Amino acid sequence: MVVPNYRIPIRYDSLLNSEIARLGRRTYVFADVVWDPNTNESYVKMPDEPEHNHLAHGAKYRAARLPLRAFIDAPSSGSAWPQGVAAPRAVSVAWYERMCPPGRRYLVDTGKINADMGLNLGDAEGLDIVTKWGTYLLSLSDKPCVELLRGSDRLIDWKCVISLA
Amino acid sequence: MQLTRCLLWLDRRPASNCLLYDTDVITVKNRLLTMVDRFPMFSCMSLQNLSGKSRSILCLALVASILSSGTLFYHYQRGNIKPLRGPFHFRGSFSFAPTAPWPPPAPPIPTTIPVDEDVHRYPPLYPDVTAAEYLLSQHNDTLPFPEGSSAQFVRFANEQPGVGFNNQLKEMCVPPPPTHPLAFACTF
Repeated sequence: MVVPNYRIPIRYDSLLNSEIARLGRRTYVFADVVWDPNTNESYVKMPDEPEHNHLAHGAKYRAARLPLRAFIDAPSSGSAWPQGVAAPRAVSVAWYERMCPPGRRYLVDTGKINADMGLNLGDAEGLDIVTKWGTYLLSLSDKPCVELLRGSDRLIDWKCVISLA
Repeated sequence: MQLTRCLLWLDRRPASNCLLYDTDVITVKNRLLTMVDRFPMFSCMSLQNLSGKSRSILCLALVASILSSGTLFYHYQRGNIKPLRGPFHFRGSFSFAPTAPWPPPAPPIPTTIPVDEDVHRYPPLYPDVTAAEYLLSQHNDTLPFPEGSSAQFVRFANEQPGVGFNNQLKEMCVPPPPTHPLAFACTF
């Protein structure tokens, strides 16, 4: 008798970014799963043409942002770490924005740091990316708030987890 | 027809299908003459008193002011421009600085979680999950070092591509959790 494996949705960049934060001894800040980052509304209007609407039953609206804990209940979404792991629990973006006002943040451009480290995201191994960035975050131990700039190069691409799909 | 309406309005007579008579024109002329006689300051208000160049400049300035005032009023009503505030009430110029902040502020966080009476709230809706995120126990600044107010955060703001959920989420196959052999036997 074959028991089928569970197929769970993971947010792969959150998963590996939280591992980078753990290696750098930092608190990971988890964010919502965002469909449209440019709106302040809760919902996004879908196109009226049925060929451009891929939702089930041709729904007219869809949520603009969804909480991450609706998908995963894990240390990368704020749950407790397993026994024996000495790492701070992840916090939400709302708490991060309360504790770290914009003047307190140390902004990091990932493209510049990758060039300094000699890390080419196109052909680098995922283990190298995670290890080197964890080491880099360890060197920023005097900065209370480190923010990787929005729009800079994404560290974890979908090719890093292509074997899991 | 337009002139007839104008004259009728000047005469303040009820509208009727009458024709234009000489008496109407005479009435208007008398009114204008009476107005100039009463207020002699208006006697110089004629474009004929200006030269050709001054007249054209005055007309162009008039048209430009009308057009620009309409545009400025439109954008002021839409909130695209705002008056500069200084030591005086209004300095008389406009700035094109955007009035809306960027990025837009996050929507307000609900602080209520469903209780047992709210049976229609199950399964929990997304605002309930957001409220549960807000009420996590690590959101407390009195915790000891690796957490609390002395925590060191790292925010990966570059991980939101703004693309579909299928590009943000992937399915991972994991083995099922180990089941008690007795329960396994009973189930199957």
